[in-house]
Amino acid sequence: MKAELQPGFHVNSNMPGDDYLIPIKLTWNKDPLEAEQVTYPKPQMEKLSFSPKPISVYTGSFEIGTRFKAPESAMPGMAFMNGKLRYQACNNKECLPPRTVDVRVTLDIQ
Amino acid sequence: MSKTALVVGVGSALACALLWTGCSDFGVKPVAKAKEVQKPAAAFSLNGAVGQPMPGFSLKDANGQMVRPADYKGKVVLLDFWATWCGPCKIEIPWFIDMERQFKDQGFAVLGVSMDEDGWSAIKPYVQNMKMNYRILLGNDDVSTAYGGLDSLPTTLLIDRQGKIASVHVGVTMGKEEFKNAIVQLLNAPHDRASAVDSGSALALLTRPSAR
Repeated sequence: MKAELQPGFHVNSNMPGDDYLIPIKLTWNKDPLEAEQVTYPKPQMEKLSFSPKPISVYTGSFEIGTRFKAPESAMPGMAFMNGKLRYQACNNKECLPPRTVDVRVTLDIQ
Repeated sequence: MSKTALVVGVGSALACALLWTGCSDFGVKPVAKAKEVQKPAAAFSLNGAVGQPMPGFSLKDANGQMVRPADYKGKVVLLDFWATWCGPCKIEIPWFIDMERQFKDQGFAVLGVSMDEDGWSAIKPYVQNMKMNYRILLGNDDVSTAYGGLDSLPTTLLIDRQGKIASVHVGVTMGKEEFKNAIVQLLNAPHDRASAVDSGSALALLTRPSAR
C-alpha cells in the first residue's frame, strides 16, 4: 500500500517513541485471507521545533507491505481484502485530526 | 472543508472509490461515481469570526464542573483548542501557563479545550506532566462544530471582555511576546467597547501558518 504526504507534513511512524503520539497503523479484516504480517518502512528521525528529541516519522512517499495467507478452503480467483489505515499528520506549526481511512486490495488467489 | 495531508493508493479503481480523497492524483477514476451529498453550510466559520460573539458551549472541566462562556463575562479569555497528540501545541502551552500566572489578577483566563478522543485518562497525566495551571475542558463534536469544525490544532482565540472574538490563530502563528501584547491590549481596552486586536501591535484577524 502506497501513501503520499503533502509537502511539509509528516505522519508518526508505527513506533513514534512517545506515548502521546498517534502511530500509523494498518489493519485488515479477517476474511477472506489472513494478514500474517504488516511491514512498515524504515522511519526518519526528525528533529522538530516542538520536541526536545527527534521523533520517528514518515514524510513524502512510502509503502506499507502486508503478507497475506490464504486458508485451505480459499477459492482460486480474485479476492478483495478490506482494511483500515489510521494516521495523524502534522507539520511544524499545526496538526490535522487523526484519521481512519478505508483501504482495499485486489488479490489473485492461485 | 476537511483538510488532508495523506493520499493512499492500492492500485485498484474500487479502492480509489473508497479513499477519503485524492483519487485523481493516481489517474484512476472510480468505477461508480458516488452520489454527491450536499452538506449544510457551517453555521460558524473562523474566517470572518473577528468581532462575532464567541459561540456558546457547555463543557466539563477536570472536576466535572460544567463550564460555559457566560462564566467568564467581563474577562479577557484565551481559548485554546489543543490535544495531547498535537506536537505544535506543546510550543504554546508553556507560554499560556506563564500568561495565566502573569495576568489572572487583571481579569484574564486561559481555557484549554482538549480534543482528545481518549478523554481524561489521556489528558490528566499530560496536564500534570506539563504543569498546566489553567482550566482544562474536555471538548466534543458539538464544540468543534460550533467553532467551525476545527480543521487543525492548535486553534487559539482571544476573546475580549464583552465576549467578542478579538483574534483567531490556526496553528502556531504568533510568538509569546506577540500574544502577551495582544492580551495587554485587550485588558486595557475600555470595558464598554468590543475590540479587535490592533494589527499594528500584534497579528490580528485570522492568521495561519504556511506549510514549510
